[in-house]
Order: sequence, then structure tokens, then C-alpha cells
Amino acid sequence: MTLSVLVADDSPTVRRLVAARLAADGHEVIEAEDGEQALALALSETPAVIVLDKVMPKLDGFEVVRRLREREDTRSVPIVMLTDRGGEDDVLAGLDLGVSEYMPKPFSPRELSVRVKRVLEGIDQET
Amino acid sequence: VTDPLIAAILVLGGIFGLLLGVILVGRWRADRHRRRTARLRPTIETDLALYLADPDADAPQPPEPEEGRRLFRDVAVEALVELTGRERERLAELLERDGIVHETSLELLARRRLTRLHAAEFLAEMRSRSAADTLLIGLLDEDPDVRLACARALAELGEEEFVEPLIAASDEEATERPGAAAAVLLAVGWTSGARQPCGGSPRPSSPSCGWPSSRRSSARRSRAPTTSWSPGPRGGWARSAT
Repeated sequence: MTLSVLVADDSPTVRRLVAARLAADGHEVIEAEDGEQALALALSETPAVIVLDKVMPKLDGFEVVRRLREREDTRSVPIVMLTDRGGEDDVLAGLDLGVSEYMPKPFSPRELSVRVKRVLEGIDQET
Repeated sequence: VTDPLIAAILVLGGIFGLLLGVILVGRWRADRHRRRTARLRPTIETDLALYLADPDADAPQPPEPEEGRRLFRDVAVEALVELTGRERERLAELLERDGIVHETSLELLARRRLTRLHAAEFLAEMRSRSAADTLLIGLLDEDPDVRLACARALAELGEEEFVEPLIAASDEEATERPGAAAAVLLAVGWTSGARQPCGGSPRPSSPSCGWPSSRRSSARRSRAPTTSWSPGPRGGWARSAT
């Protein structure tokens, strides 16, 4: 079954790297270039997983997570967050908000792919 | 009285016209460059992303002419900064194979300071051993920022053999005004007495002693120096605690 993944990053280079990797894994990929667009697409497209950059224009990654977690229909959507390496405070703040996985940048797209897979397997087990 | 006045007006008008022409041509060229970049960039990004996502994919060809190759390099370096692992290695290999590393290292010899500076910064991200010889020459550049960028690029290679040249380059200036190489040695974890690191040995006895044991960005990003050096006034180096 094809599952959709929302990839939100303001860097088109990173977005395309992640999107190409996840598409190669057989996922349908939706792309967002800022936080507002990510939030709108997350609500309208209901992706199975969201890969979210922490630093984005308009709405940062944390704010997107906060707003998604406030809503009943998006509260349980798993989120993988891309952050700068060594941002311990960010990791703790994100976990507190309900981020499922962290990927520090620079990152390995293959590792990201495994993490997304793991998150999706977690959903399977729950359902 | 009238003739010199008319002549002066004509001369000024001519100069004004010339300047206006130069400005208009400059803007036209900049607009053309922007349009080309906007058109080419998404294609390059997608081609590179698809290549990295599929180990069996054919390598993308950098678009010709020179402008396209530079854009290809810019996008590739942006990706290199964000990547680790096998994808990073494949991309670095691609840049080496396509001659982009070589072309960039030649830019270290360019007349324009900014071209040399950007080339050194790109090479730092590419971490290509083949650029080492040109980077060593770059340590002697007349511009302190270029020297610093070259030293950083050499440090990114993480090989012990470059410690000596970096120390030698730092000898060119007085201790109070350490050169680019000394600044880099400090930044990558060398103690403040750069010539007496790790128990007085002139060079590190082990990779973990003074010289970065784990390569790269880790040197720059996670090993934040307690003392940092930055270009100060009149080409010197300013020291600041971080």
C-alpha cells in the first residue's frame, strides 16, 4: 500500500533529496516549502508521516507540531523532525511536544528512510 | 563663454549616458543570470536527488556552459553540507569525476578575491584530497580570509600530514597576530600554545591529540573553540572568547 509522506523544508535541495529517497521507497511524497504550507497540507492531505524541518519561514517546525497536536484528527500523526546536530534543548522541547523521531543534520537519507519505515511500522502495529 | 559651457554639458551628458548604459547592461545581465538560474536550478536539484536516491542511477551531467556548471556545483555543495553517509560519498565522487573539484581548485588562483574565497569554502565542503596541493598554495594567499578558508579546507581533510604545513603557515606572522593556519589549528582543538600541543610534541602523537580525530564538520560544528580568531582590522586577527 502506498502511504503518503509530507516533507516540509524551506531548502529545495534538502526537500528534493528527502522526497527522492522516500519516493524510491515507494511512498507518495507531498512537499511543503514553509510551515504554513506544511500545516495546510497536513490538514488537507492527512499524510501517514510528516518529515519536518525545525527552522522554516512563516511557522517554525515546533509551531507546526504544536498546532497539529492541538487537533484531534492530527494528534497522532507521527512526525520526524530534522534539526541541527547538538541541539539538545530542541530535541527535548520537540519530544515534549510529541515529535516521534529526530534526525540531526547533516543527515543520511538512507537513515531517514529507515526511521520513517520504523515509524510506519509502529502505526501498523497500533492498528 | 557659451562654447565651454556647452562642451561641459556635452561631456557630462556623455559620462552620464555611459554610466547609465553600464548600469542598464549590468542589470540586464544580472536579470538574465537570475532567469537562467531559476530555470536550471530545480532540474539540477531533482537530477542530483534522483541520482543519490538510486544507487544504480546514471550520474547527472552538469549543464554546460560554465554558468551551468557553477550552478551545478553550488547545488551540489548545498547538498554536501546537509548530507552524511554513502550519499555524501557518492556526491563527492561525482564532483571529483566530473572535474568540478579540479575546476574549483584552479579558482584558488583567480585574481578576484571573492572567487578565491568561495573556491576555498567549496573545497572545504568537498573534502577532496586532490585539491590539497592548491590549498597548500592558498595558505600563502595575500588575503587573510582566503588563507583561513584554505587552512580550514585542509583541516577538513583531517590528515596528519597537513599539520606541519599549517604550523609553517602560522609562522609567517607574529604570535600576537597568528595567521590563518594557527587560527584553524585552534579551532580544530589544538591547544592555545599551537606549537606545543599535547605535551610539547611538535606534532600530535596520535590523531586524538590536538588534531581532530573525527573528521570534518564535527571539527567545526561540535568542537567549538573556547577561543576564536577572526579577521581584525588591517588584516590582523582579533581574538574573542566564546
